[in-house]
Amino acid sequence: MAGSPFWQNLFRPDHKQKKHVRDLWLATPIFSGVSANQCQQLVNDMAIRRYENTEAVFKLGDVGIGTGLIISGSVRICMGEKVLAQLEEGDFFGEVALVIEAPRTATAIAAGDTQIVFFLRPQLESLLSRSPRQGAKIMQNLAKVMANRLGSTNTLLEQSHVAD
Amino acid sequence: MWLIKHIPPMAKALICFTFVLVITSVLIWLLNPVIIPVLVSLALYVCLLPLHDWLTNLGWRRDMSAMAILFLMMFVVLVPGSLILAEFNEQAMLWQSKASIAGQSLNELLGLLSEKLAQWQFHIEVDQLKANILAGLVKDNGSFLSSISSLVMSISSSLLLVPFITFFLLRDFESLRNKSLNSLPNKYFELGWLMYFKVAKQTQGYVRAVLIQQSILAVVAASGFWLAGFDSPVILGLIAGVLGLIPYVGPALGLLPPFYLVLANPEVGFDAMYTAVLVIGVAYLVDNLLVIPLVVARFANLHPLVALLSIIVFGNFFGILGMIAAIPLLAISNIVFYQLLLSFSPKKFTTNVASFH
Repeated sequence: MAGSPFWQNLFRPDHKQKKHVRDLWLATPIFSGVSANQCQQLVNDMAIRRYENTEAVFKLGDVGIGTGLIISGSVRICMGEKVLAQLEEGDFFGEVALVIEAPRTATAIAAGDTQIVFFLRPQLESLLSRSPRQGAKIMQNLAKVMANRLGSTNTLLEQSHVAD
Repeated sequence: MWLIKHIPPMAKALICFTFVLVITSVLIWLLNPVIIPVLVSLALYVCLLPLHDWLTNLGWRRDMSAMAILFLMMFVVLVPGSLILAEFNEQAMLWQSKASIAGQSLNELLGLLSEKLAQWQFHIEVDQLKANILAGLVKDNGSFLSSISSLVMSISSSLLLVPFITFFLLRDFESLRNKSLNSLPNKYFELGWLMYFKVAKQTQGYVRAVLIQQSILAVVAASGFWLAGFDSPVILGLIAGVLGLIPYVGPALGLLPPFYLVLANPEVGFDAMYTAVLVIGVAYLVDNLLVIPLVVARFANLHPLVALLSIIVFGNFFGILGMIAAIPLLAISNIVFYQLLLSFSPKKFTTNVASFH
């Protein structure tokens, strides 16, 4: 009972962990160029959640509201039975939901005991109104990340067409 | 498990919505003794949040910023608020004491009306009508003026509590919200945040816009009553502003206090009623041209008939406070139910995007 994700999500010790989480976010392209202080302020309000092995983080078609960063453990991104990617500590996923209210386009499943920190759209919008410069920096970074993802997807599509 | 899987999405959404409704009702019931100060504080919190954000962005600590706003409120809200409420209480007692004079004037007015109508072959029971109007306006405990009076009295008695609740909301609301939403099970965590985000975004916009607009309405009405030579124009303007918070029926209710004043002061003459109608008419014309199309309709996205019926039903159960809260509550319920339905729908959204991001 005490070891269930519900109770651990409710009563988790997080002071030391939050510095580690800040460093993980600062290492991602989303927070490139954002000050450590600003990032720490955002991390203080972020939700850190624990998932059991094979527990769904989100499912295909769910409405997303934020991006997740893996603190420990790993996450499998699946489309039906097919595993599209296996993400590890420091990887992030679902960043489109930070910008628009879009459905999740794949299912994310925890592989092993996994901790994920979520950066949510309300936090980004709040940052944009409180500190527009830092907010704009994150938006710009997000645009770059998504442009890169689009580029990779196009390359994959091209390769599959050639293979056909 | 099999049963849960086979419950239709609409039924699942209805069950969850009922659960949310029950929890909200229990919360409101528990908060009943302090519901007015809590609601006033929440409205103030929403209005003061941009100032709080601006101060914290300048490098102020959250508690220091909230403290500075608390002191500001003491001077800007408490002092003028106490003066106005004292004036209101004095006027309310004066109005109640003039009920018999108002009765005589009403009798005279209805007599004139009855004579006019008799020319058109319409007959009215003057005594019965007079008794009903006076009972509704001033005599009964549940009358209009006593409802207004008790609402204002509740606000005045809780005036001391409001700045402190607002201070703690400014300081701690976000962390309380985060803790509450993060306590949701993993499965409903994003859905909970999404619903909160949508409801908060819409209600914050609504509360800010409506409060600003009603302040303008109160100033316009007070100026009009002052120019027309009415007694206590500030109180009449404030009542018009408070009643203006009730969409659609606010203008009609806003006319009752000035009408009663005319009846209670027959020396003013019945012609002053036309002036009152003109003043309220102009004030609400400005209000209706801006508030209903730009704020209420956009916020609630409700059919006017549904909105009107909800105002009447809520007003019947919860008085003037219920009438003011009817539209926001209905709109919030609409958002919550729609999101629940969407999340339980098996198809939800489908997309052809190849990327999983």
